[in-house]
Formats: sequence, structure tokens, C-alpha cells
Amino acid sequence: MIIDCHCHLASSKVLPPPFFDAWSRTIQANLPHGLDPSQASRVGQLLRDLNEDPQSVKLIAEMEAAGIDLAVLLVIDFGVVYKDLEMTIEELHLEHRKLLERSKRFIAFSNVDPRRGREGLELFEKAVTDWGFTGMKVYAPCGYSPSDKRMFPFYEICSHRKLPVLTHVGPSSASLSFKHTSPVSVDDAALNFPNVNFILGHAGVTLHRQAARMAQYRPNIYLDLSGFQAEAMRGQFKNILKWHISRGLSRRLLFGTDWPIHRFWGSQKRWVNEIKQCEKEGILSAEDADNILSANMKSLLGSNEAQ
Amino acid sequence: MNETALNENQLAAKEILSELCRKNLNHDYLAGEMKLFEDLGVDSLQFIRLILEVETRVGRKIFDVETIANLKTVDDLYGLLATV
Repeated sequence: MIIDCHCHLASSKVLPPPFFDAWSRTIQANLPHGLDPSQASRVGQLLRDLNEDPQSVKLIAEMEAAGIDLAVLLVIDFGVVYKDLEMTIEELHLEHRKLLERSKRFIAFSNVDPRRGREGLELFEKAVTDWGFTGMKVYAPCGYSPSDKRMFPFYEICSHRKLPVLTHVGPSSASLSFKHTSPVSVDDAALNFPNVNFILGHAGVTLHRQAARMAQYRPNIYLDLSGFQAEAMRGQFKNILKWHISRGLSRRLLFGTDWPIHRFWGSQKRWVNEIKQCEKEGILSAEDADNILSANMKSLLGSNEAQ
Repeated sequence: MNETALNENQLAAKEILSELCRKNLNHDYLAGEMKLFEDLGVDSLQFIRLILEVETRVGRKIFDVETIANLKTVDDLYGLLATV
């Protein structure tokens, strides 16, 4: 069984246009020579095209080709930072629920911005109690820390229901805040909730040394590798993986792709094969590869896992 | 792909790619089987530049998410431009 621990439903309802528009501006700013207006517009269009799979038809096809049995869809509550979104946060959860009912290939993690107060907490509880959500996503780029005290009631529920929490680490769209996105931002939460397992999204590759230090010393911290595609293309990923393995983190690393964000760099199959190639080259043992692709996430999902 | 058989758009793509790779390579020759990232050292921004410049030169949209995802070698690029 292969599990992709980090995916999103590719739709403007889920990842809204301002997210991509700011990303497009970042790319334009980083290109060594400027773009003419039509090229600038084309960059924006190509990025928005990544996000055109509202029924997850392409995602399912890629999962089948890659041998991925299960993908975790992460809800992000952008409602406090972006205005004029297509859906309310409740509708967004129900949109994911429809997909869960249609396909056993997916599970979903709920996310409600803690600044929504009591109503938000109740929505989260409903999502994990009645709507089949099996974990929690925390999206710090929306401007709150994963260790914010307002998060603690959510973690109480996660602790009680044995639900994992996946929190974003590292930069994001330029329209959002990076203030609370360092690996250490999760420390108070992980310290106060030792029974809750925290997955640091992208931290297997983003700020990976700092993140690995957290994982080495906190047994309830895991590192997801999503975003490794860029490192793989730069030829750095294998070295990062060797580094983690040499520090005994085989049981803390999780395979993830962050679909649809990295679709330009290759299909799900390519990224599963990248891990398998590491096994062939002796960078990973067979057990390491199985841990990363399957066993670690399976263990985190525990009895809540979709079989 | 035979160098002499390249069409006008493929030659334009070769020229753009050579220009982009100038910092990474000490030669101008681009073999068809060369991988854009591993062999030519194209980085993600150069890759985006390549796509934009090729489309600008050809004067129409050539790429979509799937074709970009499958663009690994120089020949992949020539293949996309074979019938344009």
C-alpha cells in the first residue's frame, strides 16, 4: 500500500485564485529578465491550470498509474485572509465529504481557522465526528501559529480521537504570512500535546535540518517529504534523504506530493519511482522505503485509517 | 533526432535552450537525448523561461500541464514542436 500524505483537491474552490496570482508574481520577480505582459499573463494562466481537476479525475488516474492506494486531501481555510471565496468553510468541508463518499481512495483532514472562535471549533468537531474527516490540517501561512493557544481546544479533540495534525512549514504564496512557518513554531503544541502526532508538512525537505532536529528529540513529530520534487530536480533530494536516514529518522518520514502544486515537474508515478530508485541505489533499505511510502502514515492513521 | 531535419520552430527552441544553458554548459551542442534538468542543468525558472520563450517565438500556445510534466529531454521538446 502506498499513501500520499499531502494532496489538495485541485479546484479554485479549494485553492483560490489569489493564492496562484501571488505565486505568479513571485515567479515573475525571480526571473532574471522581465516578462512582457503577455508572458506574465501566460505564467498566471499556467499556474491556474494546475488547479483544474475539480472532480479529481486526473488525480485518481495518476494515483492508479503510480500505485498510490490512498491520498490525504487537506482542506485549507482561507476564509479569514482571502475575501470573496466561492465557498464557505462549511461548504468546503462538504465538498470534500462528497468526494470521500464517492471514492475510497481518499481520506481528508479538516482545517478551520482558530480565529473563527467557538463556531469554528464546533465545525471542526462535526467534521471529525460526523463527516468522516480523519485528521487536522493547520495552515500557518494564514497568519496564526500552530502553537497559538486558540489551537489547543482543537488539539484536545485530536488527542481524544487520536487524530494526526499536519501543519505547513516554509514559505507559501506571497499573499500569505511566513511568520509562523518555521519548524519550531509547532514546539509548544507538540510539547503540550504529547499524545498528538504532528506532521510537519514539507519539512522533510524545507528547513529540513531544523525540522529533523525537532523530530529527533520529539517523538510525536513527523516530517512529510512533499515538495521534494524541486530538490530531486536539483539533484539534492538523495543527499537530504541520506542525511535523514543517517539520523535514524526512517520511521518519521512520510511520502507526499502536494498535488496539484508540483504537477509541472512530473506525475505521481515519477515521484513514487524516485523513492523506489533510492531503494535500488541503496540509499534506502527495503524497510526504509516501506516506512516512507506506507507504514509510517498507516501507523499515524491507526484505527481511523481508510483500509 | 537528426539535427539537419529540425524544422523552423525546433531550431528556434534549440537556440532558446542554448542561450538559457550558456551559463551551465561550455558547448553549444544539444543532443536530443540530453535531459533538461540533469544533463543541461536547467533550473525551474529557466524551465519556465524556456516555455514562455518558445511559445512567444512560435506565436501560439504549445504547452499545457501534462505536456510540461512530460518534458524531460531535448527530444521531448522537439517532439512537441514537430507538427506545429
